[in-house]
Amino acid sequence: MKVLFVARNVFRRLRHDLLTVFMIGTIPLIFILLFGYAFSGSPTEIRVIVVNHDRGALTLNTREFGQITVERSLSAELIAGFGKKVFHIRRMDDESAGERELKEGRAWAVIVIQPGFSQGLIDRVLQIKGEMPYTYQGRTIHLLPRKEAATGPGITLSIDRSNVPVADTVVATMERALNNLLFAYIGGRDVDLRELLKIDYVYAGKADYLDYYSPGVIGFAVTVITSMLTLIALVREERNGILERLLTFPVHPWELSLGYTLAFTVIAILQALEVILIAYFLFHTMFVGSLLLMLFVIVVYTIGLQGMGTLLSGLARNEFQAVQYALLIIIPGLIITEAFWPVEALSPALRPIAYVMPLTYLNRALRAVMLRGWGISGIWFEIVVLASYAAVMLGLSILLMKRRAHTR
Amino acid sequence: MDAAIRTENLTKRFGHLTAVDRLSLVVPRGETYGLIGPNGSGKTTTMRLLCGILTPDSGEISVLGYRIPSFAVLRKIGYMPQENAIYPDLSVRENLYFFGRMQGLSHRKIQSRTDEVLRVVHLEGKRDALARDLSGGMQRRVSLAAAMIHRPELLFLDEPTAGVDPDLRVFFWAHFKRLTEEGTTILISTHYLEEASRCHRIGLMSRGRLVQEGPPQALEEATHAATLEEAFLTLVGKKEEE
Repeated sequence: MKVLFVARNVFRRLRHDLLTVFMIGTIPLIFILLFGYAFSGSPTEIRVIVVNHDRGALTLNTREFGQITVERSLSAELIAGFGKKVFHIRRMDDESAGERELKEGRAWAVIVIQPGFSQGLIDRVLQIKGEMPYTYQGRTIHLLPRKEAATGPGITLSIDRSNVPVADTVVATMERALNNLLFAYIGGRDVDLRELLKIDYVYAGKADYLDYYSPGVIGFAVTVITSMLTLIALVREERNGILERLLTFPVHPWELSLGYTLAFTVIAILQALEVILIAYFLFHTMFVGSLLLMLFVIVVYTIGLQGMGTLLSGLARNEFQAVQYALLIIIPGLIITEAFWPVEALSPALRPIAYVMPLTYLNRALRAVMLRGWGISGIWFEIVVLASYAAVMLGLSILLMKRRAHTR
Repeated sequence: MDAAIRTENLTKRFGHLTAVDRLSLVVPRGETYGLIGPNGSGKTTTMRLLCGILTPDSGEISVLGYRIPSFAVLRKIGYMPQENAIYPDLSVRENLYFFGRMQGLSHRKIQSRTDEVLRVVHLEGKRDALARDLSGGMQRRVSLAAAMIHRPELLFLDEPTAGVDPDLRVFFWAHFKRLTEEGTTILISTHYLEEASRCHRIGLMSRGRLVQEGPPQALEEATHAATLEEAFLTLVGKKEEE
């Protein structure tokens, strides 16, 4: 049976390629660990600002004592009902300051509880129930509807919808908390929440999941092709001796590095344009920002990524190893860089990794431009991070290009 | 004597292995100098040191009057490595164009030089063929052409005739002879002893050392050998015994 010898020969060869053996063991492990931790649940610790104008002073109409005034804050009960995990709540007194935080991307939502929220809610409950028992000074009395019942939405919720999964979680959490609160008073009877809750979207109000994903797809596609191309191209040129031959030409290492960078950047731009055009014309995804700014950010990112690819190609001895190294960039890029899942949806253990991955900043910048329509002033931080990454990686790759043959 | 290459106590180690061991070499200008020796004797490492690809652990190198490493000398040398080191997915002409550009030649100059070097390597008819579609011997010739595109003063040829047909090999050597007559210096490594006998001078390498050097006839005489091959075996054998 020659089949067995062919198979055995594969394993024999692997004995002399311990790096590949290591990768064979490690890559599935990384994959499953990342996925396991990534899908640990829905978004948590969403940055939310609460502006509570409700003082919780209730005027109640009772059968036993007529009109009485009590201190009871239903807004506090509502906030407690959000739970501790989903929202990371920051309280503010000034509504417009809260809106500013939202518009500048430092919070995903502002919950403004209007003055008289508690009063309005209890009035509505009594209108539905007609009468309700209530414990007052140690005895049970009965509440009756008031003639001058408060009306109008008790809560305004402003949301940045450029992060669709997070925005949906905010709305769902808000509605659940309101429903739970109402259930405690009126049981299963229906209340139209729209009477109590007014939702405004500051950005990307009409965005759906496709709109949210498309910037991620662009970033991810650029990552996959650029890292594969850089790694394989360089490993191939090293293996067939071209890099070594070029060292005997009057060519500076930076000329080589920049030359490759230029070419792969053009490829990355063409790719990004392809994805953007198809997403826009075929799927009508949302696009409110500047195309040029997007391409600029992609270029900066690609330069850094190529530097990284160049560094890894120095470690890879053959194309097979090159592909495995590329996977080391691609797999985390798929899962923990907000390409598809917001950082809020990652388990807390993975979140720090997201903040050291350059792709996270690219995805944030692309989303901010495509869905919020932000300009340079809105994404300057992301640009600074990506540019620093590019500078460091390009510098290191030039150094490596220089030392490459010398260490062979 | 005006030397094209001069090294003193050149040493290069890879881990525990001393690939080149205190090598002192002088190659006069306008000569063909042949490095011969068994596999692993340090010929290729020596060439790579001389081209500046590798940095020596100790010792001095001077090439065409430049102390290595030198950027300026790179315009004057041509290196043909053991691997073909050409782009398989480019045509012959495109390969030569790229390497010409990397030497800083102008578009026009490359075109005239391309015609010239393709004539030398007998590939005029293949200029638009993709390198990967050529036979191994033809690819070798493209590689040689790439090393000569800028008309270097000094050529490093690492096993240039490996895999090349015997009749073409003869043609190559005729060209090398013409080049040296025009003043080009050639350092060549080879396995073929009959080729080595065409050199002005040969150096026998064994275990990183220069065991013996001199004109081919002198080596034959010194070892009382009938052929260079025999001389080589005698000398390397002696060395092994030490």
